[in-house]
Amino acid sequence: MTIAELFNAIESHKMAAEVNIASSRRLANEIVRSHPIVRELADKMKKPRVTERIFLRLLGLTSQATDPRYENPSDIALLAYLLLLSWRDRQLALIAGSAVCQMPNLWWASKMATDILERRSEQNEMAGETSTPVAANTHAGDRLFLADPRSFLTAAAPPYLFRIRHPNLTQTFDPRTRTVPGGIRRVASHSTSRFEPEAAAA
Amino acid sequence: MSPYIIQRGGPRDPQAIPLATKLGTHITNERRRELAPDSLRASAELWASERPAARLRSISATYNCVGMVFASRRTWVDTDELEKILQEDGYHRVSGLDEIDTGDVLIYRGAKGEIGHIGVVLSSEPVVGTASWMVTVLSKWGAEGEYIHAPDHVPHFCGRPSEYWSERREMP
Repeated sequence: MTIAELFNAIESHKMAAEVNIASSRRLANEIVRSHPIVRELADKMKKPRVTERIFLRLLGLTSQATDPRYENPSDIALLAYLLLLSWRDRQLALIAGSAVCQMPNLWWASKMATDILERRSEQNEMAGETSTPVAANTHAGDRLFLADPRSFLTAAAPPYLFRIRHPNLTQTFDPRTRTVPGGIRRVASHSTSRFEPEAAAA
Repeated sequence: MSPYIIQRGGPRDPQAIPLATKLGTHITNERRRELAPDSLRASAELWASERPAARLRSISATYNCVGMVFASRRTWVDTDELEKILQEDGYHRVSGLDEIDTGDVLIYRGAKGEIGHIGVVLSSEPVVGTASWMVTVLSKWGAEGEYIHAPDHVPHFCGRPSEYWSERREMP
């Protein structure tokens, strides 16, 4: 199957129905992990561009409007994409997890996103509860606020090319080459989705 | 920014309801939002073709199998909570098929022995010709339908029927 066909299959009602028979997080992850379509897409991720397409596909789903009365219909697809990213690219998985955590009305995907984010956590000595490095004194029932990475992510053409720019950073990170070229690059905001050639400079 | 809850399903989570075992131990739970009608229809169609001998009784995503059995269909309870519930609610394992009765629960286990599913026994009738028992079970298939079915007529990932448990008390 082509990448587009695999995306469509993962985002289909049939896939969701096959996964949603799970009554536990463990089982939902197991079903997705072993699903032939997910395995096929995972195999294609040997090419880095496929990983980036999955990441961008996930970001696209996070910005789709859905009926607020119901669970987000992309929940299973987001779960699958998060799993795939966590297998291949930890940094992208973290960013994807942060984006997914911003979305309402998710179920399995939000739990997976939380798992991804909390793997960066430190153990609280007092009660064995987890906390993140920025909130060392959290307790069960507390709320952890995350920045929305979609506010500083850009989409650029070609589809595999994008820049991650954090407001507190003066350099941009190229996920393809894992380098920090240096200098401030003028990039389009996520909301305008304006393209920027790789060679463009501030 | 949006928050996420630390230790979801706990007693301080607004998405959880007060739910506890007979000994007062909180049962972790979380209320799940309903699936869109087209998602529910797609689910019913899929399982009608995959498990045609199972009869659909009801369909709603807001609770799962454990929520149906132990929370009156009010909320979602992960199967990880089952062993605690069975122990603290005074359940005992039923030793033989001839002792199964209406209201007992059937536990399903995966290949590694982990609990994957639970259902309620609706009936258990002797089959004289084969010296066996015909058991009918009601169970909730994840976020999808409640089905009336034979014990082994469930989606593959639910696991295999493993053991029956009961809270029945004999007349003193």
